[in-house]
Amino acid sequence: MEKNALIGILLIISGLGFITYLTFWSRRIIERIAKKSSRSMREILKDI
Amino acid sequence: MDDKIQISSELSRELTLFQITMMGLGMMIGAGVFLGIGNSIFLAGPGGVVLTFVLNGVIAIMTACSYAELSSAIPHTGGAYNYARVGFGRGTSFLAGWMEWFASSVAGSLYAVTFAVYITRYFKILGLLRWVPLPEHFVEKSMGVLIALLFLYINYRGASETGKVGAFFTFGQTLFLIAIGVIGFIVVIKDPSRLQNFKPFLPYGWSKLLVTMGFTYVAFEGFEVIAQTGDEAIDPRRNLPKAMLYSVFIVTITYVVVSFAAVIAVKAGSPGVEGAPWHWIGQFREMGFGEAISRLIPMGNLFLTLAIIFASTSALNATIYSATRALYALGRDRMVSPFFSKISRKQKTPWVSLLFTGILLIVVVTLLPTIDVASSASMMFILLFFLVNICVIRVRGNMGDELTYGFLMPFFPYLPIIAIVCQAILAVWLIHMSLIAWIISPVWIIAGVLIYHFYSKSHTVTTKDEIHIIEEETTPDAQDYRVMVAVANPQNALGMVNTTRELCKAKNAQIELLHMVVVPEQIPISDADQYMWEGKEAIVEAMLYLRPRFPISTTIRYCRNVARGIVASIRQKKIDMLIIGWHGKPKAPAFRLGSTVDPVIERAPCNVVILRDGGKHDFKHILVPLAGGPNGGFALDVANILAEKEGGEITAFTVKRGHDKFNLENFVNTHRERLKINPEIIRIKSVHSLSVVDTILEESEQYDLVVLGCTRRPFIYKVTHESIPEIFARKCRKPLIMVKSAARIESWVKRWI
Repeated sequence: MEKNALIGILLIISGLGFITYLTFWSRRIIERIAKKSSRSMREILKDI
Repeated sequence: MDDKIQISSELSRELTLFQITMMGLGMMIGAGVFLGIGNSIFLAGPGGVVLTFVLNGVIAIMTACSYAELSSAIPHTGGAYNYARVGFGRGTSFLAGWMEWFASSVAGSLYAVTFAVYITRYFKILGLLRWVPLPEHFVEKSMGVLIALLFLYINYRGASETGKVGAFFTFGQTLFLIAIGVIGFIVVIKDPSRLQNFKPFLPYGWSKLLVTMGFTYVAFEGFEVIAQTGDEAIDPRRNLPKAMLYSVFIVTITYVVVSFAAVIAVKAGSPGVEGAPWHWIGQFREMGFGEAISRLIPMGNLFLTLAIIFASTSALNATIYSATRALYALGRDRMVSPFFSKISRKQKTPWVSLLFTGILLIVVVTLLPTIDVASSASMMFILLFFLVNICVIRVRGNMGDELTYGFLMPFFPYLPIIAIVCQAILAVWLIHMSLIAWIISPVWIIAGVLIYHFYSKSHTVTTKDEIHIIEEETTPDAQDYRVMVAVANPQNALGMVNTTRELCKAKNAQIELLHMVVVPEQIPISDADQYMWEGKEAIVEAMLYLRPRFPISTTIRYCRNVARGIVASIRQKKIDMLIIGWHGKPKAPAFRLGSTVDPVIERAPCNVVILRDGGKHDFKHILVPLAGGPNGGFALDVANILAEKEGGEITAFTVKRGHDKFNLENFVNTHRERLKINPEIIRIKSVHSLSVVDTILEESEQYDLVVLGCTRRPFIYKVTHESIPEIFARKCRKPLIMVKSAARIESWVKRWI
């Protein structure tokens, strides 16, 4: 397999992985903040 | 009993998470993917097209996080225009609205062009163009103008598609595209030789990728329309961020599978295909996607044309709506002439804004080639997202304690910074795709700056979040060094007078006395002066003692949050040192010292001196606990200034815990020479102990004053960990001064952002 293709496939897999991770991590955080009733940034950061 | 009945009105919240996600998707899957795939294959090759969408997805999800955080904290209609107003004020806000209007209008042009290109192509396939005695190019342009006029009229009538119907169509389009991707995968499983279509993966190298990423970035611009639904979405703090992130996730997956399917759709050597399949698809440029898909699925042309009709028209409708709303908002807030906020009596729609949006849209459709339309739209959205990424850093820094958040992005501030850098690179690289886009965008922004400077600045109306000067008395600049003293009340002012006098004398400074008037949200700005009397008294009290010796300016300001008001004043007046009092205990558990002092220490771009009982005594014995931190030198400087000139003594003190490498003697000697401290008044003391705070507390009992440097740790560390100086400060019962010195680069960045 050519070098560009190998790097490209790695980039595609890691890029999609990053997008998926960020989406589902964010979903979890949104739910967690919502459950504890929304507050200021400082309180949320202290909590998570 | 109150005899007046107050009736409040608001938009009904009816849009669900599904509907707003689909609205975002509808705006994204409008054109970028249909026009972009063929062009990307042509420019970057078969692997390049897939990479283009994945990498754009990565940049888009980072920007989506910024939008998500801002929309959860400021969940109102207005999008980037609103965020910029809260984060930066009127000037940047105007620019955001001005860019948003252009970006949405040009994106609308792109959708009209997409519709025209594919409808003309289908007519050609059916042989209908034979009956039209006009050049194909002219037919395309006319189709674009006609569809634009139709949707301008629909918007004028106010007949915007309802959330449910719009969501239904978008859902259908997305399913259709995913189905194409699934078919592509099935075809490859049956005939793995089609994977050879990906050879060579990047025939023209990696640099072409930046060009294709730049001009297809418009296919990821759906957050703006989601942000616009802030007043109509159910549970917006929760649903807006989710919808933004879901839409980017779904759209990236969709684009990746569709571009994959487009590349493998054509079998090498099949009838009519000459050369490598990717090369054959690429030669059709914007129609390459259609040519490829028509060979992948039966009746591909018909299904594809139907999908494009739905996709481009719903996106066109959404962008006209969005652009009109942006221009209307500028007119409503007097950023441009109020003429633009005129509403039709009969149709109840902003007809002037709609008319000007229509003119801009049709001019772009008529005059610009497709690539330049796509590039111009991409360029303006890139610049708008660039601004939003800066905004999220600024808003969290300035108003993080005032706003209620529903979402906080991870890896802050690295994600927005990476997004800013990537977007800057894409914007620069777009010059290889379209010089016209590169000329139009800066010209548009410069025009905006001029309009703001000569019109908006003097006409705009104020908002409740802005900080206003209620009363100000200035003296001509007499000294270079400027000390700001923030006074809360007469007692607090008296407590700071002695220390202020000594510090200002040593620095040969000019004094700025500041009092912030906190006015509750419910009280209008015009009534703020009723809250200023206590501050006025405090200022007069401080002036009695300080005016004979120093040039003094006084300012009383109205604000909603004291810390933000103080930091804004420091920036505005270019202050070198802030002196502020501290009552001694945080009232809210999330703060280490207090809800005003904590943010001021974190954000003030100058030296900060915090006093607790620091103004009432003569200081003969001063304790300076040191651990090698960057504020230690400033603590020694302040202690040296305050130590009584006759018989005063400073003790530099450290607690060693066994493994510490900190050399107190070297530290003191370095700073002693720099600060010209008399060696006779300073002594050094080291103690071995495991309990640092208790040891310093015990030692402090023998002194008149403790001068201590604040922690200089990253904000997140400070929020999640307790640091020794702050624990000590809360427990210490002696007069205390805490200091933070301004690191030059950090202060410069803080002043700028």
